[in-house]
Amino acid sequence: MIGLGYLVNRRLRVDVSPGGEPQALHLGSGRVEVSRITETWRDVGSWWCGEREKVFYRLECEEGILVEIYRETRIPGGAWMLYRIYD
Amino acid sequence: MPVIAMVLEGFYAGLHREIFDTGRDPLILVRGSEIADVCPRSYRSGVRRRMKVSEGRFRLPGALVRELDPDNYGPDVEMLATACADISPGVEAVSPDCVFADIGDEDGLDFVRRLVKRLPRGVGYGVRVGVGRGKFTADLALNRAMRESANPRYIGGWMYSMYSIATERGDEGVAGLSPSLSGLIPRSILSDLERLGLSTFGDIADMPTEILDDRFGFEWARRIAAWSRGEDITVVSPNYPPPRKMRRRDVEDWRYEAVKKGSMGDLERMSRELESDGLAAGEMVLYLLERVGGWKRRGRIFPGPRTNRVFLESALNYLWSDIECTDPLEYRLELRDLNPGKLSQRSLWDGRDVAREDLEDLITDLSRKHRGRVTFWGEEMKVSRRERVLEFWDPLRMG
Repeated sequence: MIGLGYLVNRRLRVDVSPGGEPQALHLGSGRVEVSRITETWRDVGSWWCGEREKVFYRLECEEGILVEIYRETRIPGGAWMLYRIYD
Repeated sequence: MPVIAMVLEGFYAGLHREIFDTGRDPLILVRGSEIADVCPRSYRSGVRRRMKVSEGRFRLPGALVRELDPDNYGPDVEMLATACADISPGVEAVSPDCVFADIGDEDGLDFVRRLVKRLPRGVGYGVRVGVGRGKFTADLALNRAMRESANPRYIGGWMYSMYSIATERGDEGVAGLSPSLSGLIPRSILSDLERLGLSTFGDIADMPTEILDDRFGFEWARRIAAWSRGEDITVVSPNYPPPRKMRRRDVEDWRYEAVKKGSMGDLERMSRELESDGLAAGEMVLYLLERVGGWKRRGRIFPGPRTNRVFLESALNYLWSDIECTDPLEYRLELRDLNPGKLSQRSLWDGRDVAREDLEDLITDLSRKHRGRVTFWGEEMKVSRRERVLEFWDPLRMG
């Protein structure tokens, strides 16, 4: 069962596989490995405000930490954002 | 090693006059209901430190009476300690106007002569000096010198009074002094001594130790007896200059954003220096000198030592949002309370393509860069799940 999530919305450094999928997240204390990608979806958001499509990932990381991240396509280079934490 | 204890009189009043441009009116600075400092004119009219404010007003009805707040004087408040540190390797600042210093083999008066030459004219008019074989006797001598008011003597244009207990045989110096001059003896013991008719250290030295033991307990009796023989093993604990990083700039063009941006650049350089020295800061202070109104000061004590640039930037942003200033002449930023930073393991490769055989060179380079203070062999750091999750919330948590 997934508990209530909390929105964070801040930049995050992410290691990706050759296929472009997240493999590990970087925190100040080191890397957090992604154990499983539980879900992926696309969100167009407020397209009428010029918001572009984003790719969301719900991840299960080591020690069962659940987070949602997305790739922000408006920022050059497609910065990764931490969207939500389930804990 | 001989120790000198000094108090500058008129120091705060001089700073107040200079910064707030109060003209030639006599000035009295107060702290609560007591007079904390006076200008030379007020002094000549008989107004003294530690006098009741009402008495000061009575003696000099036309005087300006202002509350003493050392924060108003910005970094200038460290003038005495800075001047002392220029000529002595061990300086213990008790307050901005009072210091202890090691004077080595130098004569106390020569030390004072050199010191007052380093202080600007108008900042203070008198210096009270005590010289002792340690901090206890220097303090005792200073309190004795504070009570001298007749026959002022002058040195380098400053009025001074000095008392010395730095003789080879200490008892010659303390025998005639009252124990009430020492701030280290509790009031209850002082009143007991008075009841026994022991009004000087000389009287105490003549007492059989058993009587003192019975009266004050073994520990205090031994301590008082040693002091009464002039024994002094107390030493100066140097605390000035405190380790800190500082940047200052003259503000030629006051545009809030421009000055703030400049300060962020300064902070970035200071943060880099901290990192390369393996240090972390415990406090940040921002000063602005206003054309009218003196120094504005805002400070933030951190919850712990911090070196992380993002954290320091957010602290500085907070200080800027909290300080109000309309026409500054100078800005100054200080990182204080510097201590060795939290050691953390860093990735040797950090995403770079480095061959394993370069390991030794890499460590040597790191040791050189961090002056051999932050690199050593360690164990793998285990971060708890709780810390990991909290770190998602607060990226500064482990930084």
